[in-house]
Amino acid sequence: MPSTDSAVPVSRSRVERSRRLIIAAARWVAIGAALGAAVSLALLVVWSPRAATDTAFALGALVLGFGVTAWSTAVGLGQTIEGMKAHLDVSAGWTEASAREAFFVVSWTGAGWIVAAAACSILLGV
Amino acid sequence: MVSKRFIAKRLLLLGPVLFGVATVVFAILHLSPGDPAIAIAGERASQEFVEQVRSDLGLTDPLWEQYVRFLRNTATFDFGESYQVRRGTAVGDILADRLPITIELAVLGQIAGLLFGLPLGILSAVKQDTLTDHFSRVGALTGISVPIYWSGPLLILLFAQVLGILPTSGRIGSTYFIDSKTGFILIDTLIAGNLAAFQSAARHLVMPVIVLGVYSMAFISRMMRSSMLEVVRQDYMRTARAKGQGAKTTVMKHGLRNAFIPVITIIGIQFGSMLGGSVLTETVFEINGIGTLLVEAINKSDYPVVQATVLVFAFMYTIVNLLVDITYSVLDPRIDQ
Repeated sequence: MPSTDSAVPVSRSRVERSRRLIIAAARWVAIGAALGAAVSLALLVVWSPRAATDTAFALGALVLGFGVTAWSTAVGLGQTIEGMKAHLDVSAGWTEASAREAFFVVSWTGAGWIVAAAACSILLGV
Repeated sequence: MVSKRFIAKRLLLLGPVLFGVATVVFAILHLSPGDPAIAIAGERASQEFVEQVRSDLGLTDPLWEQYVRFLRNTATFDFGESYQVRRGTAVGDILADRLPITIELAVLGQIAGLLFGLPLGILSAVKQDTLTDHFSRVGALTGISVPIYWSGPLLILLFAQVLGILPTSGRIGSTYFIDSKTGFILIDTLIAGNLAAFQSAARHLVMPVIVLGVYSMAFISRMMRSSMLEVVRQDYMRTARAKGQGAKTTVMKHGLRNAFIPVITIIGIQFGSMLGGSVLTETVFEINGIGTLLVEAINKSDYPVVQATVLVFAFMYTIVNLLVDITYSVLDPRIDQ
């Protein structure tokens, strides 16, 4: 059987990276869910359950949509934008990697938010 | 050539982009004031009738249910039917009618921008710090600074009202009736073999194309100038000149291709501005493209039309940028995608 020594560390690092990504995503989903629930409950003070949970859901969807769009744009065009900024000599420390990381946070927060808002809607019997 | 893996990765990104854009549009539409049920039923309709319309449209369901339904339908390219713009007509059919009009305008605007922007940028770089350079830089700055909603009416005032040499609005003279085969008026008139109609269509397109093209031209000429200035200082340019090659040949043969790569980036990124600009241009010149459709749909709270139109914009923008990336490797095979 051929040696797979060189493949083992690569595979382990991939697993480790995936594990860290999943933990980070879960953490931001939990934070998003807390935010979603808090906004839904806060809006209940002034609006009907239907209006409160719908508005909380729409706000969460806005966060999620913005995050996912910006993340995929950063992945797709990030290096192009980085290169163009360097070419124009207007680079202000913006990098594709940092943008990807930031929008990863925004996207998962938004995901947690809409799930919590939908759950509040179901729990309140809307 | 570009690797298949690279193209596949970019095509895969289309999914998250469209999902994100669809979600943002859905959220904004539901957060903004305006009730499609009232828009359809009319301001004087009874509360019962408005509620009936709302129920028929599925707007009485909780928002998360509407969102899941919307995503499911969008994934199968089912954008639903128009509420108001063309009531009951499939949104896909409306888009198929209007999209070629906007594409024609945007492509012609981009071509005009390239035709004027590239030579201007090259001239400006080759004749750096001369009167030609100063004029072209001031021109470029003016082009970038002037908004379409101001330059459009100004051109109408000058060419249509004062000089009377160009039509004010529309796509073709009212005396011509051309069957829409491709949706592109210039091509349709040529297919019909009606040269007079072709001339009329071309004259109607001059001002909108100028308005869109000026902004593009200004950006491209600025980018071309800075890129060219960098290239003309390279050793290989000096070597070519030292070997006895003429200045013009050196610039055109060795300089242009290398200087063109950053400009390609601008063209791709700018296509988004072109589409955004087409919304204003079509409104100013009363052209029934996708831009005016979007404005009309927003005014009438026609959710399906707004959502589909914005998704089409996002799709086109992503595809154009993919094409731009592929063009890089054709221009410079050293670029490792």
